[in-house]
Amino acid sequence: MADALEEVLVQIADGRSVDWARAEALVRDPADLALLAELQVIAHLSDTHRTAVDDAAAAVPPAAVEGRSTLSMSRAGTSWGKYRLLGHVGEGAFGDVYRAHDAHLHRDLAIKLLQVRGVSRDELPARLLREAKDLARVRHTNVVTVYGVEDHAGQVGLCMEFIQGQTLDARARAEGPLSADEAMVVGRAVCRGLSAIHQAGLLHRDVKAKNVMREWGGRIVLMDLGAGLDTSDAGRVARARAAGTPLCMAPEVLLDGRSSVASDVYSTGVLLYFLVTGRYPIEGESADALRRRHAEGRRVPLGERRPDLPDAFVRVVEKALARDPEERYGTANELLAALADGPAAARPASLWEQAPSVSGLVLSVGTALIVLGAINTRYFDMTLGRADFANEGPADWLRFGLLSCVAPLVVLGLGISVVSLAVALRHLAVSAWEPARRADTVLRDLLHRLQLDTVPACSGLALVLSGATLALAWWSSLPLLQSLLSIFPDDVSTAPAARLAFLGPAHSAAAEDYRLWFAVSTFVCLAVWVPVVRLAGRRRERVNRFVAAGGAVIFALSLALLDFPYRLLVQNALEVATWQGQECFVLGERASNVLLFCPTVPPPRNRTVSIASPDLQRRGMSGALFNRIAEAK
Amino acid sequence: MPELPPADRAAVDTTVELLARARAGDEGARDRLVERCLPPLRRWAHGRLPAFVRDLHDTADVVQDTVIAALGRLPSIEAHREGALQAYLRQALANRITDIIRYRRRRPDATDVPEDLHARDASPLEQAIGVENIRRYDAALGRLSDEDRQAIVARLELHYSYDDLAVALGKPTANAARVAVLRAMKRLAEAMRVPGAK
Repeated sequence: MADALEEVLVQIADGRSVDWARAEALVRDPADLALLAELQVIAHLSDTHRTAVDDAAAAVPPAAVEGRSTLSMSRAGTSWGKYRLLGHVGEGAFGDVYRAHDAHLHRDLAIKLLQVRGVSRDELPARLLREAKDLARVRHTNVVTVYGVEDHAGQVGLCMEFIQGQTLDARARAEGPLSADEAMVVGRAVCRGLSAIHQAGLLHRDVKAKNVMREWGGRIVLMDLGAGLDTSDAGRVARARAAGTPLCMAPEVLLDGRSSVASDVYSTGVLLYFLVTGRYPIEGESADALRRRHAEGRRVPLGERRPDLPDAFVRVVEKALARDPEERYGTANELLAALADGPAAARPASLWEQAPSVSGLVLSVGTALIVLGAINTRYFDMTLGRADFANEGPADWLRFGLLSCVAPLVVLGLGISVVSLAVALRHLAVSAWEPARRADTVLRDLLHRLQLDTVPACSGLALVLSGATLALAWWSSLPLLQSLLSIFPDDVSTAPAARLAFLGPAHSAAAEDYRLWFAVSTFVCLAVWVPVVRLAGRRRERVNRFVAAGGAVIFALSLALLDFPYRLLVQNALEVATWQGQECFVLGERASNVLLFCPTVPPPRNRTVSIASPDLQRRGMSGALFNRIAEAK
Repeated sequence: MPELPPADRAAVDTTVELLARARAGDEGARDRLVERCLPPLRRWAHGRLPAFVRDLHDTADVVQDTVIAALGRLPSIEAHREGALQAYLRQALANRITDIIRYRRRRPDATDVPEDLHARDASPLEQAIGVENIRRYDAALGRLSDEDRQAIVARLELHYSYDDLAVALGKPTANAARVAVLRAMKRLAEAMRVPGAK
């Protein structure tokens, strides 16, 4: 099944919103597209049941909601004008909100009925009318739609779109803090809505988690402009008192009531902070305590409460929460842009995404090749006992690193081709052939019943498979491996001839097998661990650290055994010379001397000879170092 | 979801014990079983009952009557886990709702046809995903194995938490329950895609 489908499955099962447009764009196979369509039906069904759950819960009045009048609570189940009030769903600024049904238009809607407390009765209609006018100026998918204001039986109500979902406050309290990714998705939607409000010449003044709804389909909607302020009315702005929720208010609003676009940006920062921590940046028991703490700068940095959050996200929130309005994002759009830049930094980046550019990638690969080349050259020098005479530099290391990767890359390419072909054939068979589909289902059932499709089971299996492959490679190459290891602590100069026998031409096939086995072992490590890591990522689970460490050790060992003896087994051609009638090889030069390896002389086979020695004749040609090792004594 | 069954394993083990005791004729155990099963089923029924049925039949009453009647057939209920019992009761309730709707459609009210008849004729679920999709869903659900069906019903319809689901399905961990749901969902989607496929 395609990764996109797996992701959709997980999102539906977890009750999270699904980006169907994105999923459809990612799924290409017609059979998978058909499955995606069915999953959409299943998701809607699940959402509808969940909505029913919350409707049922909403019909039960919460035990204690501060300031709620019994009068307003008693309205549920009655009628108001042509509307039937189905249930009390919440409180907004200056009014209780009901879910209602309009029998004429056959639609549900939300009606905010004005509360009388703390406001003169004459002032109420004007206030509600102002909220309606303000909201009517804003047409945006992330701002609640207003239908109109009506007056029935002496009570004024604001009729609005009914959002089927829950407030972010309820969601955060029920499901705990969000991840940075989720918070950024919400933050961007809130910024879009807020920007539309600002562009309409208004301030929201009460951005908080309780005033943001998440529709079951995933749409984020900014609600409740009851505390809003028309910035075109200079007199009203000047007279306006602080409005909103003190915990979410910008310091300048708390101190002298100065609301502005910057204070809405600050409140959005508080919202983001709350979503990822469940706490507020500055907390206090009273408005006075909050003012004091703002003045003293006693804000708890986001990074202290959630050290695991990506730095990029923390920086954006901290800037939105700057004490000085001038230091915050100037507009909601600027905050939106900062959040839009965030995901790449906030998401646990893949190795590919971490590469800054093509040049960065080239540099990384080049460095890795140089390191590999340096390692196999160092091993080569130690085995030959020529460490003091070696004169190869980074360019040579790069060359040998690159050459040592050719064969493993061929194996890797072949392996990937085989696996891809097998996956494609299975996919084709399952899509087009009923028996194959049944067999596939039976196999999956079996795996499921045996609990082999879980991350712990898959990682354990990967560990066993990679370990077994390494053990098999080790066992198959044992004679050569023993020969290589037994040279130490000596070198080829003094090691007994029998130990060098496996490096000779009679055993060239063993050397090829050795390389092949350890290339396969390295490939198997990759082939079994990459799917496990992806599975764990999709399911948001972690691989047991001991199992992961075991996998890393097996991979490192496979790679090391593949790379270390590369030059000794493959790239061992050196300049041929004749010294005292014996065929020797020039291991290196230093000052006026050369180090010779003469395989046919008794140990020590390495001899330091003056370049000017008449016994030395350099032939100007290269030969494989161990071609005559069989004649070694 | 405050009314979901408790995640506490001992409490749910008691559900199975209650079932055994109720089978043995313990009335108190049967009453407690009814109390425990009702809340999630009541919420489930809310999505399945059309408005015109709700006008005459209170959802809670329909659910309660059905559950009590179903538990009256206790000796024939093969349920060794809470998930199996909930799936059984959910099916009994679905059948009861179908019966009520059929009965109401055969015997229309002697009053004027309401303006909103069309909207009232459909349940919230039918309005949301359509009658044909519900039929396909129900048919596919019926073709799944018992365990898959229980996982789907408990998680997607009754909205059990994974912890509760683990206990209800007899899984060792919440994660194992989650994996079971994922597998069941995939099989459900495949069964919906290929009508009649097993």
